[in-house]
Amino acid sequence: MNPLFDLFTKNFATLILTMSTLNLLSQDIKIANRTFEGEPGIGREVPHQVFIKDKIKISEIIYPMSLLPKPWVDCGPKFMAGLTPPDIHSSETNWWGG
Amino acid sequence: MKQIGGGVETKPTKDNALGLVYRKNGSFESICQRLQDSLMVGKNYKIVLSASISEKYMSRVAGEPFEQNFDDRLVVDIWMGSTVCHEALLAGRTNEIDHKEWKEYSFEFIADEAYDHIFIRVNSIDNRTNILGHVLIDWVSDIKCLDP
Repeated sequence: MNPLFDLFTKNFATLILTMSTLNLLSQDIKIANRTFEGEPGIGREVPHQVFIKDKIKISEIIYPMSLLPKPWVDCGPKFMAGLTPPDIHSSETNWWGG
Repeated sequence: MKQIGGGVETKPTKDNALGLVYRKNGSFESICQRLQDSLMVGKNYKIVLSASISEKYMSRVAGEPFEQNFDDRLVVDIWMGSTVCHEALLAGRTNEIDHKEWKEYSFEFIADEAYDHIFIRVNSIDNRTNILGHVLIDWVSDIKCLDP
């Protein structure tokens, strides 16, 4: 067998094995920050998303949109098709969407 | 788009979650992120998330000074898109979220374009209006490629 071909074959096999081991061949698409952990409650400036569960007021544990873990972004107030948005640039309305 | 889950109960052990609301004026909350890789056209993918509701979820509508309980029922939509907050391919829509326990929803979809953004939003049921609702979301999975 051609020694050059043999060398190529061995190296190629090693490369594939390494990539497979490192999961570089996976076609899965990673999503960053798939769970909404972090430092909930810190920095909340508006009375938004007060969360009460099991009769215990735990407003500090919901994840405020302003603290979404990157690379998640808050898309801001969006509106159903066909509806006319109010002035969402008003300082009084821009948080909770009109 | 095919929903293959539909309410397998899960029990996350932590308290944090993401809350998204839908307001009676038709506005709603949504989030997006750019994916680290693009979907491959023609490939079959699977994505899973957990959802629940809270017994009480106080929030506001602009112009109304008081907090209200956002307790109407909603669905969650998962979209794929090409730009930030873009709705191009509906990858999954849950059933009505009416349970206070975490349940897992699983969807399969085929990418018709090389989308590189995921967009998650709440939606009203049957385009109902004049509602105040919320959904809690957590445990979004990676987007698993089901094809070899």
